[in-house]
Amino acid sequence: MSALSPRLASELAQSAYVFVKPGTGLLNTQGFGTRYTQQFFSFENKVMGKTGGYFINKETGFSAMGIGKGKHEGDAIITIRGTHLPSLADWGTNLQLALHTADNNQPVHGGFQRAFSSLKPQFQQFLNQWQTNNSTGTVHCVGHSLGGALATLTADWISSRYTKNVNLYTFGAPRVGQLGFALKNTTKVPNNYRCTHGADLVPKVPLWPFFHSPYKGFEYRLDRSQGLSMEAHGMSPLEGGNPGYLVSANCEDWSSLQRKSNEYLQPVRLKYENRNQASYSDYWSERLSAALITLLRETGYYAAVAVQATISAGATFYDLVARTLETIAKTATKAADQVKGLLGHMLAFAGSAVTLVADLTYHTIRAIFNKMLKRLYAGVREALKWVHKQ
Amino acid sequence: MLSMFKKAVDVEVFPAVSGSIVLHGKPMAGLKLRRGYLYLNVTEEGVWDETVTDDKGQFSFSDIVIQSKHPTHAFSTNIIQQVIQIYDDNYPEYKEVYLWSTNSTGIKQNSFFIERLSQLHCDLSDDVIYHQIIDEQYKGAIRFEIDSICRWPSLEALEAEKREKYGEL
Repeated sequence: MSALSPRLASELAQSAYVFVKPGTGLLNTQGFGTRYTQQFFSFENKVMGKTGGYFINKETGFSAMGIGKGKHEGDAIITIRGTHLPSLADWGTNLQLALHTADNNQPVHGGFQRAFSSLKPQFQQFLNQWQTNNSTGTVHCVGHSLGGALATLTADWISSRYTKNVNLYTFGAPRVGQLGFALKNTTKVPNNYRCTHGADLVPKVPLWPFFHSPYKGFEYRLDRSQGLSMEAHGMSPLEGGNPGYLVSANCEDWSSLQRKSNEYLQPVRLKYENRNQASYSDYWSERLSAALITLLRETGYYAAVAVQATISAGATFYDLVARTLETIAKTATKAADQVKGLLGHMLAFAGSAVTLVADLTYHTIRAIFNKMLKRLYAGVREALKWVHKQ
Repeated sequence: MLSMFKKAVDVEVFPAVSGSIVLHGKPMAGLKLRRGYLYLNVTEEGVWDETVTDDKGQFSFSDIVIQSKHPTHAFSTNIIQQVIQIYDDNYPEYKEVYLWSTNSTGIKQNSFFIERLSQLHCDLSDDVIYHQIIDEQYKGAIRFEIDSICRWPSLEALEAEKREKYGEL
């Protein structure tokens, strides 16, 4: 079984944005995808028992399903575009809210799971037909942005229900679930080509306790961009993306791309006096998460908070973390210094003009969390708007 | 909600078109053509206009810029299908002849399309072929695909060089 090349995967992800309802297009050639993708996958195949091919075009998402040829003979492709997810109307702290149970029984973001569920019946129809045709190849799941989140849930489900030969390719996808999901997903979908740009905001959210899969694995870091920017999330430079995943993934071989280890796993302790070093960047978004985890671990609260996170996310979850930090700060001076250090860095990350941490009460801590979340999600909202415009 | 109050922006759906049609080198006068665009997720169906070739077989269309709020919406895609074809009841044999058939991405027209559409010359004895254009700015990652009966020999020579450099796909 062979993986899609980076170029093929990115062109298929982009093609999901260029879909025209069969029969309504004007062009001379009506096939789904580009001349290049059409060499490997066809989507209008009558062999699949459905004239017009398998396309889903819903409020919650779009997907094109096709079958492989040539080098990918026997394979199936599912390319997904996330569209308007109602629960994401506010990508603010609400994004952390509303957990649902995924098909692998682990907590994931509710909006993603609902969107996936609405697409699932048609995936089922397609995959049943694919299996009936005695196809024993690989199922490739591809998506950009929210489509990447949906592709992750799809690949996970396929691995349980259909075949272990399932590959996942995502570009600028957010975190889908919490630790339990990430762990299971890592085992079930080992061939996970997770592509990011350094400055792409969307893969930075939702924050801890959401994790990327592969857990403790690596991602393909397709550029060296710094800071956090809207343009870094785009697929195509023609739509304002910089560099655009189509451009940065323009190669035939995964081994020629740079790999970066997934999450900050070593302990991080932040000194209050160094707080103004923090900036609005990928590096600091990861370090702040790592510092919070380190603090909770070293004071023995990690397990309790993490367990609580699986049942209450969002605003209530940050209430809990703020209360826990208040308690921690009261118990020991050293721990209090670390709490203060973390909060000062959060203020600097949020771009606050004043980074002084007045006190370590629940109210102050909660307000600082809000500032940080607001800054991060404001950027994400802008990035998502930016995806397809100049 | 705020997007309701956002201003519409200019979307360049078609550059100005000018060209000529001959058959075995002889001008085709009085031939009816139609041009259409479909702005994905914005126009439900194609928007068309027509023209007729003059005595020398020449024709033109002016450029089209529309106003749309669509590009200001989150998750909006700006893909525009563009078509120019012969559309003349007197010549049913040329019904499938496309002078232009492609997707345009973004709200601005690229220089490659502008250049080719300003010299849309064809001989009806030729076949519709697939033309690929590489935007060198992106090192071969961005390739435009056009189906057309027209030929642009000097521009195609440049494309052949680029394909040599960035590889055939």
